[in-house]
Amino acid sequence: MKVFTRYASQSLKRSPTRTLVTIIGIVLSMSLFTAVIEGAYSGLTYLRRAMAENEGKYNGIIEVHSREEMQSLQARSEMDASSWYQGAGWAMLWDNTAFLAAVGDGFEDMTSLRFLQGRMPETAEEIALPNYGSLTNAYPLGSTITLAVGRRVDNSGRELEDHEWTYGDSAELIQDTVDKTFTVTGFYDGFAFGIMSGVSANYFFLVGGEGTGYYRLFFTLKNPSKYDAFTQSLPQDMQTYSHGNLLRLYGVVAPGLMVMLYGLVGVLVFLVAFGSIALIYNAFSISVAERIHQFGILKSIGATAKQLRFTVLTEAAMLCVVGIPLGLLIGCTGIGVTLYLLRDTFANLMYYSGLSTRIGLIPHPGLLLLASGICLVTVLLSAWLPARKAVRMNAIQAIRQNGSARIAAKDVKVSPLIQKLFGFPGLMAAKSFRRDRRRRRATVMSLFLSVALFVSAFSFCSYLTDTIDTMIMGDSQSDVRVIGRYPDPDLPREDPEQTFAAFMEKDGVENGLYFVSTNTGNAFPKDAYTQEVLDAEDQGFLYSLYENAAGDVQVPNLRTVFLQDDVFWKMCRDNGLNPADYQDLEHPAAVLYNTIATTYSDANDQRHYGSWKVLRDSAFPQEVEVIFVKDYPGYVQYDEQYDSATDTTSYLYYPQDYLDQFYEEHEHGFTPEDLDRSQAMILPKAEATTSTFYTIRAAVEKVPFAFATTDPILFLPLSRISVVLGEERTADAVFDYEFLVESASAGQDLVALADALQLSGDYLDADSQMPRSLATVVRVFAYGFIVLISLIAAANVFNTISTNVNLRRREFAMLRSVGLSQKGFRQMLHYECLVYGLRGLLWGLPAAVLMTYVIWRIVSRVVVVSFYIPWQAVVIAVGSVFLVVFASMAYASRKVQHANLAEDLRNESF
Amino acid sequence: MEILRVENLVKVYGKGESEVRALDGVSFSVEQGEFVAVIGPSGSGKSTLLHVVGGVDRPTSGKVWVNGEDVYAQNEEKLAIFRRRQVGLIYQFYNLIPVLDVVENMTLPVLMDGRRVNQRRLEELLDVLGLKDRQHNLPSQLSGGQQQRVSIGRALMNAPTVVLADEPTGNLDSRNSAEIVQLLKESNRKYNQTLVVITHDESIALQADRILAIEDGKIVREERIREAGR
Ligand SMILES: Nc1ncnc2c1ncn2[C@@H]1O[C@H](COP(=O)(O)OP(=O)(O)O)[C@@H](O)[C@H]1O
Ligand SMILES: [Mg+2]
Repeated sequence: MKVFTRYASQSLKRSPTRTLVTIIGIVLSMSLFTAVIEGAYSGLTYLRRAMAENEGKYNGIIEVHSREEMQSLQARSEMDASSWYQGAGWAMLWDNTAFLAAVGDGFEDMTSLRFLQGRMPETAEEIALPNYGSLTNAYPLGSTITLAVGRRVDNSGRELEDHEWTYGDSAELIQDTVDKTFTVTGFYDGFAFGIMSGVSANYFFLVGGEGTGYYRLFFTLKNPSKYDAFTQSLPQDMQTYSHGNLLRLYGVVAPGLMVMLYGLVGVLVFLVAFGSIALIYNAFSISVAERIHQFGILKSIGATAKQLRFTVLTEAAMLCVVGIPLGLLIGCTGIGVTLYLLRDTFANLMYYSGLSTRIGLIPHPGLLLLASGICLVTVLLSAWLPARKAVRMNAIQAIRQNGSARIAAKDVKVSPLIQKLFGFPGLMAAKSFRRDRRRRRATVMSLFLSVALFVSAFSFCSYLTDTIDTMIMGDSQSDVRVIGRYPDPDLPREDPEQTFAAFMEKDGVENGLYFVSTNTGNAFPKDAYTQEVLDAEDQGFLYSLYENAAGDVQVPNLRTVFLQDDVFWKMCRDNGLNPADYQDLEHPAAVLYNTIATTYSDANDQRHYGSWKVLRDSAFPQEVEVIFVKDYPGYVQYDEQYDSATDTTSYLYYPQDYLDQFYEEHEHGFTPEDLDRSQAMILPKAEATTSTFYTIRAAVEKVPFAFATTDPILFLPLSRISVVLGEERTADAVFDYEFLVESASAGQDLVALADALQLSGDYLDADSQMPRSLATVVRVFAYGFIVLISLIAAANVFNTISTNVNLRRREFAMLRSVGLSQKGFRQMLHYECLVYGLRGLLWGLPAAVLMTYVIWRIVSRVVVVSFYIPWQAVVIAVGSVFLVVFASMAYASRKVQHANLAEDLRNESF
Repeated sequence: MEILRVENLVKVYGKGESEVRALDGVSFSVEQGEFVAVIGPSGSGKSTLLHVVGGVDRPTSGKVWVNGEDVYAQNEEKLAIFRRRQVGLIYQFYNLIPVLDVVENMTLPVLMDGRRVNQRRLEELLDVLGLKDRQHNLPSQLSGGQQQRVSIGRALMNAPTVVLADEPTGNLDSRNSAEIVQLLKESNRKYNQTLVVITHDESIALQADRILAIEDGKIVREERIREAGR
């Protein structure tokens, strides 16, 4: 066999370009296989670790009744790590039950228990409490707490299991108590997940020392996916609690997620394999075609079919030896760097923030081996398929074949028009294009695939990111927004202007404003609304309008925003309004953001995105009466009634006692009609309400950055707040100041400042961070994938074309020996490129449009987006097709052009 | 009239150790309408000589004049046109274009020149070459002898100044060989076509007007058999 190995390596050396392109193909495929598989694995591992950090890394909890039993469980070979706590009795604190747990070593590590203050208790006299405000106030760190610790029983005296809740009349009592005094050593984050599994207590306290009750063993398995098998092997009566959120990521509990992940990886691997086989198959089928003649000679001198196959497979294996390790390296580096760069973006994607776990590449030898295996099989298969054909041919057939497929006259029939139009080079190009159906198809096919794949992947991405962009709403490019709000009226607070100034002073702040937002329940006459918005409401597309008894229509989500004056004036100017018209202090003037938008399903269950003008243009200026209902002590205003005869509205006040009783009787819901109206005190409007007035002078379209929204908004200058809301309500509204600052760089500073000022709210505007991160992740991976797949396709085209040119060397030499000039030669090849490119596009573009449409149909089931063709992608695709074709041709023909004519003419190996 | 003159041609392949002097100072001249046979052992430089004369392979030194024009003084573009109009090459392995049919292959140099095909000459050639009912066959559908006749047709189509043939019968049986030589001779006589033919075959050489014998890149013997055109 040694001679055949040599033969294989020689034939690789003989066509270095093709060998190189094939290796590049293998490297690309291998790096894609690696990136897909490793990316999925790293992502999954990241999810698992983040989940473990957030909720604890234990897989499950087993309730055991003795130390021996626990130790025998811990000794089992399936166990990886474990920790435990033992029940240490029950107590009552402020009418709430408290469970005492004597924790074992490493408990913090096994769960997501975090100490916000202090440390774990170490002795039987120490205790750690959850970080609830009431507990931290009453029992600060280092103070003592005395608890009457005993057994928990119901009122019949039966001891309750730890997990039992009591219902109805049954009471919980603590009996046989012993007073114990503990020193408080720490406060743990009270939201540690799952540590209270199987314990029906209000408080969960941690103590040191030994307990008296059951043990709860928190454990991880060496192989968490065998969790079910493990728990089934336990004694029947042993109570277990699984850590479902974590186990789900191991395919235990709800395997759906894993099936989806494997499915996605499978599809991607398949796509890569498809592209790679097309490329490598082509490379080998060409190299085989070229050597069919040689195979014939070898056969005629006694080489067996097996030996010939061996040659081809050896050739493939040699390419793999170079390609696979290189691809592995590049794939790992590529996905590793990508994940590293996206690590914070991924962290933003998690539902829970503040985790320290970050995504990163986690090489898994088994999976890398798997990727290599898939790649090897792909390459061997691609080499084997064309070799099979060549080997089957008998020797004489093969020698006669002389390298090129037989051509029939009709195959190369070309319309005389072509010659008329493009002259001799055009004729030659058209004929050459037609000569070999298989090879031509390979080239056109790879162009077609690339175009279709590229455009449709591109449209998938842009549909998806478009949707995400509409979700984010608004054109803000900043990464961090801080929304501050004073948490409660009792805390001391600064003048809002000073607070705002403090935010704006920070370096890197790009934009900011503050405002007060309320909802004053304004109703407008029905005829002030546009017909379109009323129709949309009628058809059930909107659920945004509400018609009251008096026939006026209200938009319940209509916010009234009192905007910092200068921002308000600027908004007026931006919308072409004159701020001077808005200066009246007695009778304030407002503007309305007059649009309502939503996604809705039409009668055919198709999703659409719609936006409607709310009030007619003719509705402006619109007088607004803001009605405030007065309080009457001992009464609650509930409902109103409208008398159409007098066109008056009266207000119903029910006695507090009656309402309390009514609520009790109608625990399971009621309608206003259930109320007994005779109980109500009915007051006319004049007695029940006070009003203020202002005018909406105009509608606006451009609103400040913070208010991109799907609901209409009324804007007024902040200085007019007391005129509209009245002094008293204005004072109450002050804690509703919202500060909105955005910055791409100063996020941390702003958050720290908001913390220092004790502002509450969404510091990192999570609502818009998540979709934006999602968009980034989708973009990076989708485009990465598209680019790599396109590279494979481009390599394929390059390979096919350059080999095609190379195979025709002798023919070219021949043409030139009878006088074809360089210019004519180039022209001929250019026409040929044109024919290839046009053919590829002729098939590829319609397919791309079709696939885009299919993708749109699928995507639009989930999200709202209107159909469009991503023209940039089409332009890029068309450009790249010609670029690749012409570049390949230029590269291939350069060699031929400069070759020694005489030498090519002499060359008889073709 | 002297139609072809070759002066002190040297062609060296490779360098240093592997240097091969394929042509080593070859000079001769050919008259209009002369039929010259070039003979010599394998590897003596016959094909090299033909390629150099045909404007296909640049000599290392020396000059080639065809029709009074210094062939290698022209640029590549002019050289291509020279090959198209002045030379007709015939090879042992026919070297036809597989996608072109008989007529297209024969008219290739005319087509490339962007000129109109002389239908009368084409008809005549097809008739002489016995390819009348093969006009639209592809090379793969022809026998070896027929293919070689197409390549002769191509060489003659343009009425070139000189036809160069490199072992045109090397790949054919004796009957086909005789026919091909007959055709060449006929063209020589009928059109007064200048002809340089490389051959191994003594009997073919003896039909020429003159024989040049080459060995190791040098003309070692020159033998006049008859006066040109007799
Ligand atoms: N491209 C080349 N490189 C190196 N040597 C060559 C090349 N072409 C021809 N030769 C050598 O030049 C000599 C003459 O070759 P050639 O003209 O083909 O001989 P002939 O046609 O008489 O058999 C031979 O020794 C051959 O090996
Ligand atoms: Mg020779």
